[in-house]
Amino acid sequence: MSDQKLSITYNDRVVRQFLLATMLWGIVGMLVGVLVASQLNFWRLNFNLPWLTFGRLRPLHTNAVIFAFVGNMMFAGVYYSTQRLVKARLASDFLSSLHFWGWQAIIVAAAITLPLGFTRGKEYAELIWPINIAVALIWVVFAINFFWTLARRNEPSLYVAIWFYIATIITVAMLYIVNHLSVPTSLLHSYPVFGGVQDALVQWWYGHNAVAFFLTTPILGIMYYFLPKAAERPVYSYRLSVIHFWSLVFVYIWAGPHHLLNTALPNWLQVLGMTFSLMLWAPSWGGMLNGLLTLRGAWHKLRTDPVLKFFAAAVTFYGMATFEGPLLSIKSVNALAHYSDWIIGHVHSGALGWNGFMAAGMIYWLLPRLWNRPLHSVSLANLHFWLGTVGILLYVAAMWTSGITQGLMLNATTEGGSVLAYPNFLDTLNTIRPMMLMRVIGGGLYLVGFLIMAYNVMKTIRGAQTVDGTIEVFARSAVPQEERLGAAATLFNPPVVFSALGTLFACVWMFGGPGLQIVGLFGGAISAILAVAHFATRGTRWAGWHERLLVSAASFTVLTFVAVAAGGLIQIIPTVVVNKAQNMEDRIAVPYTPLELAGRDIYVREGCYNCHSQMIRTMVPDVLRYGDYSRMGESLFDHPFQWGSRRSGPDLARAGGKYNAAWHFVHMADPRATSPGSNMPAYPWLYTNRTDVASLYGKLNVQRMLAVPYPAMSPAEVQASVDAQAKAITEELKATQQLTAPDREIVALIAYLQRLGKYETVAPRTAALKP
Amino acid sequence: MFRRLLFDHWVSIFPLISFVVSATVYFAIGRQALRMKPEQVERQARLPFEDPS
Repeated sequence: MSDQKLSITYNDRVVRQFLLATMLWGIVGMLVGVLVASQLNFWRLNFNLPWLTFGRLRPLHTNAVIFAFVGNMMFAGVYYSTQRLVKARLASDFLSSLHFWGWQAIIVAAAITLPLGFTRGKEYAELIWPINIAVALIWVVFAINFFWTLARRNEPSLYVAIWFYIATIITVAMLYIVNHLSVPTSLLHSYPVFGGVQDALVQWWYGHNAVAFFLTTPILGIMYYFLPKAAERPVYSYRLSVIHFWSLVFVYIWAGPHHLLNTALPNWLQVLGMTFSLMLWAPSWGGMLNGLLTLRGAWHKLRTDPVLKFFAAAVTFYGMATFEGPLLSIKSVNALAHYSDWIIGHVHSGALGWNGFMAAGMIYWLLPRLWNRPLHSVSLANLHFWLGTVGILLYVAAMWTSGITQGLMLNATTEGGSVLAYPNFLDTLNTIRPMMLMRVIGGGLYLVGFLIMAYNVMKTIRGAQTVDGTIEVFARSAVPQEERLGAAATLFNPPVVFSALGTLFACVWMFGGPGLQIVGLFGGAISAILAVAHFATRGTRWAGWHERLLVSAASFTVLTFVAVAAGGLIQIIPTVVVNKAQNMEDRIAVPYTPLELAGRDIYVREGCYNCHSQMIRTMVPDVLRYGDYSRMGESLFDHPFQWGSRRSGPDLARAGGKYNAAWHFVHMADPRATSPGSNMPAYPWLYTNRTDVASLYGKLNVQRMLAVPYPAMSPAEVQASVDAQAKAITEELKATQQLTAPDREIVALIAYLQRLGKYETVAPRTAALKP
Repeated sequence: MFRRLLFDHWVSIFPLISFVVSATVYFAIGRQALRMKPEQVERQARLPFEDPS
């Protein structure tokens, strides 16, 4: 430690900016949420306007809440706590400002493009490719600013909150980049490089871990900083926080396939997803208990302090949500709950309870410190708490009831399991209507609570003087050389080397031929024995490595990356390598015709996947209701995949040919004309918009680049193909008195819908491949 | 290999592998955490309180 004393003024301006943006986008995101929940009850609230339909607004709701609300809250919390934990001002005011304004510009771009129908068609990854690039760039700005600050720190040790922030930054970057790899067809449109089951796996590796590393780990870091500060006592067990961090970071990344249970995803991935999800119970509850027990001796403060009220409730909801998540990952429970409102309830107990209440607690705690004025009204903050709590409970109870009802009704059979008890899908929809209404009320109450907080914030900061925190520290001498970990020592040390060897031999055993399997098995066993022996005799080297890791930010980051990357790579690489046309058995997709591809793009644009799945699970009730179960080869050429994650409407995997073209024509104009009681929006613009044929030539070229076996076609041949198929459909419509021009979007959409479920049979190669 | 990866069930071995891998990680980290020096733990836990705000 040097004798030089420094006076540091923190950059709290950017914290205030992010905090106010949290309020603004929180209100926007929740308002849209209440609107889309209302649309499910009252279809007229879609207003027959394309940019106000459920399919386009639901992605706006999810993206706004995740990336705008929680994103801004996370940045505020990370920047405030990091500066204080490392005793250094943020490295660059310019980068801080660029980060803030860049992120807001991205949010505005998303708020414009999503309602206009510009989408990639993948949940929470809908934003179009130019915005994806902007997100990646701004995330890099955030990372540089953060790690640069760590490099200039005046505190050698890295507190556990900083570990969670590091894991967040590197993992979100990895997830986002891989899941957004696309080939553009125009400035506003692209196709994902992955297709079918590959795309499904990558999407839910991303989707699940967006929850893990965007909505959980940064907020856990915030919990580990702000909860002790608010309770005025250290975290209950720092040791437990160490276990919490490493076990959570290692295990979370493996659990993504639990979103695809009972589907066409290869079974080894489903088994991994389910079992690793169950293992998550331990670290999640360890962290939850650590948070709650930090309040030991301070429980009496909950009566008067709204900050602690919010934090205690938030951690409790974290415990509930992380108990429910593994439960829902059990395959038989998932058979009941998947595609139902139970999942929506689960997500919202996390988003409203954990994220929303952590945000509220943090905002109420920060306000007096950033604006140097007491909170305008503690009573209003308490009112906010109770409105929010009642709102969440109503919402979650409604969705649990609704989801379980849906699952039971849709899976119910009679006659010894051979006949559906409720064959009409709409019976289920109309049964859950009261619950859907209760959800609107619960969500509305939560929003009112949030509006009260916004009022309270505005009254507090109006006319107040902003204040930036300061601290006097002794300039830090560099961490002694012997305490640092160099690049070589980071990777070439006993724990990493033995882990790498074990993984290598496991891969050889699993993916190798008969001979290599034996090598892998023996190699894995010998690696394990050597690791135990080495640990028993040289355990201090293992411990020393970890101790030095805790003061070496760069090494810590590399190791965290290795921990999170392992699970993804082991799951994704084999799937990408193996899932090819020549390896399919039983059935394989036939590429869409140009007109069908245009119709598919319309299907994606309108967000039909928000209500309709295209995946008949390997379950008797699914097969009885929708037809033969879906094979992985049947969606092989789907860029993006459209398996969906919920069924507000029926599955469409084998919808082709179930009804005639006229039925679809009438249905899209007025769903209630063909399906009384339906809550689906009408799509009148499909009857006036012209199909974009001009772009098809380029789109087909991109599809070919992505290994979809299209023959080379000239623009004239594409046009001729479109004209011929469109003419056939309009002729069929004409025969039933439905008149339309062949160049209208409804014709392309009908072509696509009638194509669903068509496949080519391929000869099984089982015998040839068996040893 | 392809057939095994795409179409085999793996239920007899992968739950066990998942459990062993997770248990190993938990055990190793737990042991490491328990062996941390008390003064180091105390110092780390008090880091948020070194800032006056």
